[in-house]
Amino acid sequence: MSKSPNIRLSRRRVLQAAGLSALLAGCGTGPASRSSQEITFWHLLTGGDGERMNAIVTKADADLPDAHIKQIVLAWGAPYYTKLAMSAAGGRAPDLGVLHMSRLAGYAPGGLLDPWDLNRLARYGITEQSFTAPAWKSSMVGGKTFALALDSHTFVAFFNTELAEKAGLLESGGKLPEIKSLDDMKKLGREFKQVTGKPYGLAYGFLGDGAQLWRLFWTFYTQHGATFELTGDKFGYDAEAFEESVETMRSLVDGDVASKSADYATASSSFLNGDSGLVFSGVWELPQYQDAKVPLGAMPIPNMFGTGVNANWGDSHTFVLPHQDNPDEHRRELAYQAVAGILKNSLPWGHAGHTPAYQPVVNSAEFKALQPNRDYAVTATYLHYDPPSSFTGAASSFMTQFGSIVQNVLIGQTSVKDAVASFAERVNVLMSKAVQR
Amino acid sequence: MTSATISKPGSVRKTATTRLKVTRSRGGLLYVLPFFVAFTLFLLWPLVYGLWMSFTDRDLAAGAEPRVVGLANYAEALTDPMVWTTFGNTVLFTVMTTIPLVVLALAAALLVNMGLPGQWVWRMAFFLPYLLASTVVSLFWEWIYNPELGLINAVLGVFGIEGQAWLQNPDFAMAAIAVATTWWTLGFNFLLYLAALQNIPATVYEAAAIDGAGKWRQLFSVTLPLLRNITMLILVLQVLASLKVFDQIYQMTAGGPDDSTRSILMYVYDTGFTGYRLGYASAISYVFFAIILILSLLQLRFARRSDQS
Amino acid sequence: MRTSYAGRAVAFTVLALFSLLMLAPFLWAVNTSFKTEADAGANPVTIVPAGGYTWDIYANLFRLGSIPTWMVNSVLVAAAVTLITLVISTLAGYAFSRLDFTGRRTLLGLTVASIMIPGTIFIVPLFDEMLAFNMVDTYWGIILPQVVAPVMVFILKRFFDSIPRELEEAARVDGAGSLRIFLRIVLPLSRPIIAAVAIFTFVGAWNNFLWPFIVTNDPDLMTLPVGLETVSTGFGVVFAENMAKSVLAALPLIVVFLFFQRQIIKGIATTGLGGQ
Repeated sequence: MSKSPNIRLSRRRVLQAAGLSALLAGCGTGPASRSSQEITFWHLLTGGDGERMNAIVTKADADLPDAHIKQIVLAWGAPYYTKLAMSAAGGRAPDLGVLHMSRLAGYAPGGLLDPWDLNRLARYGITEQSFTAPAWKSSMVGGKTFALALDSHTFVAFFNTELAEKAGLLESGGKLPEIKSLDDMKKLGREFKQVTGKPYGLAYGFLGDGAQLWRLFWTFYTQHGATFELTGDKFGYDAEAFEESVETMRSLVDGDVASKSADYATASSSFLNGDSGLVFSGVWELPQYQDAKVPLGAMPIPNMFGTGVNANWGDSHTFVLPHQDNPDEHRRELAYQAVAGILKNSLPWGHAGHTPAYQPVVNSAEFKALQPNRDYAVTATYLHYDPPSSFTGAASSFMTQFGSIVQNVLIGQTSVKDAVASFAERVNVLMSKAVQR
Repeated sequence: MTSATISKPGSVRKTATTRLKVTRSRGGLLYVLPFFVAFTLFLLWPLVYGLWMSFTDRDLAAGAEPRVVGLANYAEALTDPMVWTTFGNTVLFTVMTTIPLVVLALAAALLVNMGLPGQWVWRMAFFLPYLLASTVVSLFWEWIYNPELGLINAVLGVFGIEGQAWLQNPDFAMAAIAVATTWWTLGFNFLLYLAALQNIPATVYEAAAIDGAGKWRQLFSVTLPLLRNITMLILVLQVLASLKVFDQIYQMTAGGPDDSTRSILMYVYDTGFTGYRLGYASAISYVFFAIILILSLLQLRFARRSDQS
Repeated sequence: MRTSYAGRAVAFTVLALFSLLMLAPFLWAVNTSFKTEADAGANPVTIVPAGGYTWDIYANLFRLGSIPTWMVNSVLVAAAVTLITLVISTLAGYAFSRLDFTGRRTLLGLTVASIMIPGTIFIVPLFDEMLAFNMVDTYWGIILPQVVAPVMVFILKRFFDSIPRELEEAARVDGAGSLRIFLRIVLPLSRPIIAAVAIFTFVGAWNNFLWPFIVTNDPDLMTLPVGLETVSTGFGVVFAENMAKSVLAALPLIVVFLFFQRQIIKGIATTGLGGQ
């Protein structure tokens, strides 16, 4: 649905007629008060990610003539997305924002984002050829480009090479033995446990964390070659693959190989402290582990189902133009320039664990030399984004609902079958309640 | 014009309470004007505007003029299972917090009112948490409830009891939030009770003692009946506050696990700001408002009837 | 009539344990905040950290964090809300108590009735209204909706009602107008209730979360409770950091309380805030 500023104004006028508009209008400071030499850039990148992004932005900033990029960093997840939507709805959004590719379907069609002008991008050297074909294709909605991918990031397994060596697990090339089944995986976990003498060999934080549960699940589920269908009248899914995936997750967190009750931070902390030898986590945890001097190896999460399908949960951070009612043309130009600068300087983004999307960087010798990135970089080529819809994506209600239901299985409150059925029911409700456009 | 009425000195008291109760003044409206401008703009108008919105499909993300959809939002709200789930959760939270917040506050006030040494410390201990922002309370308790590294499970472990994932288990999450909330807001009721206890004249107890009533007897036949009014007040304030719960739930569990802690106000927030459906969110607000109004009226009638008897 | 010695000893023990339970979350938070992240995350849990206590986390928060900015915002917002609430509520309470004017009964009825309206449930239309007024992400947008406090108007009116009229008559005979009587006679006599209303308005505004959270998107405008929840500095292990932030956020009001404890408790006792 298109957005007409005239109509918006009329609603505003009606509202203002209601009372003392002059007084109040005087209290609000309009968008005009923003400096035209400063663009605001919202993102949700903190910790190791935040540090690298800051370094990249500082570099891109230096290339901008007499202008400055002001970063605003909000907490990851639902709060960020709610705030981004609320500010775009106000028409006074930041000049530039970061959006997960998986959230694009919820943002672009409603008019919360302004599309990128390809001609203008080309002037700064950013074209279709700058990205991989899947990343370019995913960033279009209704034939317009709304998102420019910064990276792709996946869910992988990191391991402590020193502990692996002690356990006699390390093979040539610093790799762990190949894992083909759930039993192989559990055996590996128990071997780490023997070396450390600590409660768990495998660290996986999921408690109260729908995102973590979803990442591992979507990895397992897509390794079955299955997908979710969210566009018709009813939720379509592969029940067998769904059940096997959740069952596998449950038997991993058995209180022996991995904790039954670890949240994200607890799991990270146990891998950082060397209490666990193996951790399932996003690639973005890489800098945190490296900063803590953990001797680090990495691998894709192995396919334990004998299907032979290479698949992985993944997402991309992208750059978007949150909708502004009356964009300042000068600042908008700066936003184009800033994004081009950030993409071209995105090599440090590899240090943050991510695989940059900008092809000249990925193909550079410097990137190819990064360790242990090169051991999982392949996952970027077969990642699966979340099923697109207005209610899915990073930190969406879909993810939260998924998390609460599947968590009940993992902590032994419900059976797998009941959980799958109740999730399907919830998704049908979500599909019926989704905003109609 | 008013000073003229005080003609007879002997009638001052009478006129002061009857004829002079209020002073005629054309300026009166000016005094209330600032308050009513704010009142109209920030309380009354959202109420009226919200009613209009509840009949439309106003969408946060789409800039187009909202369409009037009649009663569709209300029809949806009344049949939306999540409205009833979150309403049930809200009532559960209200019950789980109101009872301990009355009983424990009273117990603490009675103990402190005994005049034991250390008055300053006791008052501080009970009142301090009330001074904290919800965010701080949530951070404190999330840490205490941490299943692997938290204080509670560590203490339970000392006694050989297996800990729980308090905030992540649907069986415990609401109770865990209620405990944190009780800790947080106990101090206010405690102070109200303490003030009420200190307002009871010593002569009342002396009279009871002369009649041969012991300490426990005095508590039940003198103190508690005298606290009836303040208890009614605390109950009303408490129920109204608990029905609006949002902060600590949003911060500690975000409504999870499995929606077991999602309150009705959180559902309004989720629907409107996260799901963009401002029109539908307003309708849910109105359904909730209607329920609160009915409860308040029932409570008023009940209070009136018990006053008469 | 004194309770027996044994009875008092039992009561003392119960009270001490109860108080300790109340203070435990603070003590645990303070203790954690002086640990390193590694010690805070140590499993099994220890009280005294193996690596010793450290100030580092606090130092970092002051060096990098937005906590000082949010603290200034909180002071600004809470002070403005308190000041405006006091001015408009005392004026209205005085008029309802002493002056007669067209619409008095209606307006008073409206005020009393609205005490029962939980204003926060209308956040959605209020936010939409703020969008139209261009007040999202402004200080006024945070402050103004918080100054409407019908319950305070009512409490003040009740207190003004209890001040004997005789005191004003002399002034009236001297020809003082209603404003002068309000400023010179009624207000000075109402110091305790005004202090109580001010304290509770201030604490309420300082700690308010929901509305400031909804109306601010720009972290430079956020108050402490909103900033702590919305803006994150760490990504992985921030157990000790979270506790240090909480302790810093809690400190200002606790210090104020320690200074004004007597007034706060007396304020409630003498005025029966809430219309006891």
